[in-house]
Amino acid sequence: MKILIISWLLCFSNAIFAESSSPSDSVYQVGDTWQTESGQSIQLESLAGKPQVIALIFTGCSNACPIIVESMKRVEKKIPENLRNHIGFVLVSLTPETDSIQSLKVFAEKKGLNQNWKVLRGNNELVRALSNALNSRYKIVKDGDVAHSNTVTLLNSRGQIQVQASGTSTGVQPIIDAIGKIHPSPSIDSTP
Amino acid sequence: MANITAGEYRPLFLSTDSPVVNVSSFRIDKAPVTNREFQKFVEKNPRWQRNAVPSLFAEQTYLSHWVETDSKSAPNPTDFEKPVIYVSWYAAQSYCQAQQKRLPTVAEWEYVAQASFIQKDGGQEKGYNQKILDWYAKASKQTPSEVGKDEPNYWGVHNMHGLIWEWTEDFNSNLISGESRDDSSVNKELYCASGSAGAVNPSDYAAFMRYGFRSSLNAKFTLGSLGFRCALDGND
Repeated sequence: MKILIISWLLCFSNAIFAESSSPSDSVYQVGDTWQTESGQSIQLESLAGKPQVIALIFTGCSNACPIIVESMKRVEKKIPENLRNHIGFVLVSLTPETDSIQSLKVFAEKKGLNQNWKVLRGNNELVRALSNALNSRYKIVKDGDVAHSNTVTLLNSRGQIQVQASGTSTGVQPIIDAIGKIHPSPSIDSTP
Repeated sequence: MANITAGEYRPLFLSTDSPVVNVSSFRIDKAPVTNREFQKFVEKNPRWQRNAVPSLFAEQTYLSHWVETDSKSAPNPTDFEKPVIYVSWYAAQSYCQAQQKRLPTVAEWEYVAQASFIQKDGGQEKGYNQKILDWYAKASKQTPSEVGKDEPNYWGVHNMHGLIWEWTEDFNSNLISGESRDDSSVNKELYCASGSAGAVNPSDYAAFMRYGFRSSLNAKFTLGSLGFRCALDGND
């Protein structure tokens, strides 16, 4: 929680890669302001404070993306009772130009995502930077389709990469295992 | 910056009947970003100082060719006009953004790079590819020489070949095709002998090398032969 508050205080700048209070290797170093499916503007660092399961998705896609979301839901179902509501789920749009806040909202409703989930959109540069930080690759191909890595990442409460797994129903098992090992200490931190 | 007019670019690894990429008009720096220019950026943006940069954004060798003075690192004055190297993709991207510019895409970069001294597409020109390959074959010198000293190409752009490799915005997206279920979507046809025979221009071995090099990179890599230049939408 402390980290979260400090993050908020320090994050006045809007510039990409602005000063950050996150650890040097934290994905949250990418920073900047993102919009949620509910139209809220949030700093990337506001995701700090609890572990997050994060993936890049293309809301218009018909193949891998639903699989990623379903796989993340499987992770959610397997969270131990005492950790419910202490693990966040984040989906980041790879196509912010076509994904309006409204379409993210529709997507979230269609998928039945609860309050532990966020669907984010940023600008193209930010998305590319975040994708690189998550070791993911993507390419906008013809007809507005997107070819992308099918990776789901577990970040600890400071945004450091803990586990990366393939976003298929069996592929996410390493993330389920890692969450199972988190001890619900006051800070809910998965850092050893 | 040099004005580049719109045109078509056919990625070399696609077959002759695959669609070409339309490159819209844009501007590109006439030469790679120099140490001096990058130093000015770092002075204004201390986060990109060698000792301050987050490890997420750059490897240990970031700006390692600069000299330490008063806890700050700076390029040697004799290197001012040489291209900045040992910079990560994040650093390059942030630099361009600070100039209200952006990194060129692979398609844009290759489109400019295929020009010879006298025409937009030098690919079929006698000796054009050989000249590039001759450079690739040379062992790298200690540091690259100063920018802008070579003969400019058709667009008035310097150093597209023969000085350094350059970052592009989407450097790591070349090998993906179609939608991926388990990261197996790399375009296997590009590998080894299986695909080159079907490529548009199998003789453009130099371009194959660039594609191979780019896809081996990670955004935080910092290498002694890798710099960048910036681009901007539209013409003046």
